[in-house]
Amino acid sequence: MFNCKQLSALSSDYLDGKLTSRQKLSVRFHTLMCKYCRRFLAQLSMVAAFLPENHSSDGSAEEIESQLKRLLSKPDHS
Amino acid sequence: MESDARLIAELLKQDQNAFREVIGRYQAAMLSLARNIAGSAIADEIVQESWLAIIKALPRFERRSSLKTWILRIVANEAKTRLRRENRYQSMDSGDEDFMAARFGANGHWLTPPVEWDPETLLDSEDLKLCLDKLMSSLPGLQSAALKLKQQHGLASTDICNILDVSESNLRVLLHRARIRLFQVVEHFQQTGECCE
Ligand SMILES: [Zn+2]
Repeated sequence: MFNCKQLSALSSDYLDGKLTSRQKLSVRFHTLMCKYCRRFLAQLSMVAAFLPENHSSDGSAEEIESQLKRLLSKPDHS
Repeated sequence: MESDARLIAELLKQDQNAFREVIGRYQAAMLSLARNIAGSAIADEIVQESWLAIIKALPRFERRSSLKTWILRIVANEAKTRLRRENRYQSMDSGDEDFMAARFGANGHWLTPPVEWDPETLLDSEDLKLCLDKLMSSLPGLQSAALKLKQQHGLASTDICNILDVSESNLRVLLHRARIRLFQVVEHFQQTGECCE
């Protein structure tokens, strides 16, 4: 059986499916009884959703052409 | 992978359309990775260096990984080389600090339990996005790169390990630390409406 602190140390591995089946069972059993750990796991699995999307230059035609030009004008140093 | 083979053959023939295609497909991911490892100031330079390295190495591409993984690995290498040259490189942050430790009592139970979140409001908050952007660019070592590759590019662990040249267990540590830091920033924002520090 894990306590809350031990569970938090394994939380990320749990979310990524990297625990042994025995560890997984212990996590599930613990969260059945512990609402704070349940909350913590739910929140940790959510955090990446808050990250800003990189809607950076997803290759507009113009940017592609300018990159191509830069590539082709570079002297080949081989 | 099949389209990779065709593309590589055309690239080797210096076909311009092939270059267009490969730039269109991977440039954004390359830039994002360079930024996450080395910061936005020099990300573009790193991408340019990477293209030169890619063109040079292409005849030796062994197809053990996808073209995308191979390209991103070159970008990560260029970024790390650059950081090493500037003495800013740390693959794993040295401090083995456990950010969460203070929140548990001696018996291992929560002392300061996580507060409830209001996901709807958080998701809509532009301020929170700014906080997280700031955090992502200040995370040590390869943490933000690892998290981005995992969460936004949806790459498999083996590919991420390959790209960043870290072991599977190092990747797990990187992801955990990055998520814990994000968790802290989101929680702090939920409580105060402000970024940490
Ligand atoms: Zn608990």
